[in-house]
Amino acid sequence: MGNLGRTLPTALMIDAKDNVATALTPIAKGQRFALGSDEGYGAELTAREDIPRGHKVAKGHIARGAQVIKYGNVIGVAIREIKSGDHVHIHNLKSLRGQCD
Amino acid sequence: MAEKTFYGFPREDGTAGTRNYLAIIPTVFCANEVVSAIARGQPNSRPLLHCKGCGQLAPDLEIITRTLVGLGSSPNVGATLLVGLGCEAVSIDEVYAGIAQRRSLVEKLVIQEAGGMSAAVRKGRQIVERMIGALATQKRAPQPLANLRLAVKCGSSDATSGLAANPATGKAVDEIIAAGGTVIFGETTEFIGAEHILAARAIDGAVAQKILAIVNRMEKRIIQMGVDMRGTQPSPGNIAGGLTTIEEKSLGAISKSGHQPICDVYEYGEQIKGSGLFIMDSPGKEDEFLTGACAAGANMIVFTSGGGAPQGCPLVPVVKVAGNPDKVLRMKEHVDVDAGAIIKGTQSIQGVGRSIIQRVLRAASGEQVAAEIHQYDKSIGIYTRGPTI
Repeated sequence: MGNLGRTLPTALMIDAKDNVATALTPIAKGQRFALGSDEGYGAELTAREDIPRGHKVAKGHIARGAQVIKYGNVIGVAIREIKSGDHVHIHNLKSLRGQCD
Repeated sequence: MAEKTFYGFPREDGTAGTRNYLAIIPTVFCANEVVSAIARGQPNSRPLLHCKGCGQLAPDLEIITRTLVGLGSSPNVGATLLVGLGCEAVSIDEVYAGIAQRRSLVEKLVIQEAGGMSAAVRKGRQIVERMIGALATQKRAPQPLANLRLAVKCGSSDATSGLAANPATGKAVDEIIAAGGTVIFGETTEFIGAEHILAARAIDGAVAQKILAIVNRMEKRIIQMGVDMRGTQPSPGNIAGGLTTIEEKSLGAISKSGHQPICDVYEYGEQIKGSGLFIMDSPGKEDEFLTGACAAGANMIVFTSGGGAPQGCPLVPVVKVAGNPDKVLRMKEHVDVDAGAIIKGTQSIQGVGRSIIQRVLRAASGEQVAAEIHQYDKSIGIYTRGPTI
């Protein structure tokens, strides 16, 4: 991965299986951004909402009830439909492990 | 991996030291002053002052005993002098016997038997002079990566930790294990929320059960203090930084352990046998984790942080990896590997992982790390669980 000549903001995919990426810089609603990974730069997407730095953005459609994957592992489920370029956070993602049994 | 060796001190038990220290270990806090006085003016000696060893219950005394045995048998220790007061609960004879099983250069000194501080210090200095002479004859020799025993921990974490320093360290860990090395991680409280994922990485069902059991045990201790860690994570600050769930936060921390199978789970301070990836049940508290890792047999440590954390430890070089490009410049003198390039988008996680391996191998062969250069490496801490009495 290198940013030679690249002017688009980047969202980092930590694992190839992830369906969310993390914004390395703030991405504004409507702005194009690139997906970065160990393999270099992948697809370019458009943010449907403001994505603050360090926050997650969906790299594809995630159905309501579907698993959200980061680090190649399940970090929770979508509690509403998530579209590509959506901000993924507490309003649409819920933990499966957050409560004491 | 390009480099497959480092230069270390061969030990009698087949391990290899990345340093060659004379450890002067008080078996009880009441011997700290004598240990300090003996160590004064001996740059190669490591006085391991601590605040444990008496006024504690039997289960804690057992942890302290095995931790002290582990410190005296560390691959990085060429010789050990134990100093006791004479009336303490931890048995200096038991600690001595444990170290003597693996090392020939070990001696003990009891202050009440010597007749007070002056006589004990005099006697201790004579022993130390002799030991320093013996250490000087030991030389480094090429070592296979099978003799690299690396512990990894995180601290002073921020929103970049789970994106840069931790996953890059995870890449390094995967490569080191693939090359035959051993890696130890712990900080059991950070597993909460992702323990099922770690359990799925266990080599068999028995190890998976051990992982779940140490998390359950740690969580019960926390609940006994009236605190619900699971229900209160991630913290409001974490959420503002972009973390949504406890799974995500825990995965960010444990990503420093890479992806290899977990071979076994050890109690705090136990000496880890075999090679591969291991868990040591341990707190995240810096001095206690680092001390436990030394006792477990680590000869190198990687410590990840967000903006830089200075702590080293007296026996093992601690390589500092920091990933927050905004903060890392301010703490530059305490950073060995800058992982901020991942956040800036100028280097891959894999690329920084390779830099970490190179820095670890250079340090293993003798190059000083930041914590050694600044002598930010004096503290130890032994993890115990019960009340003092």
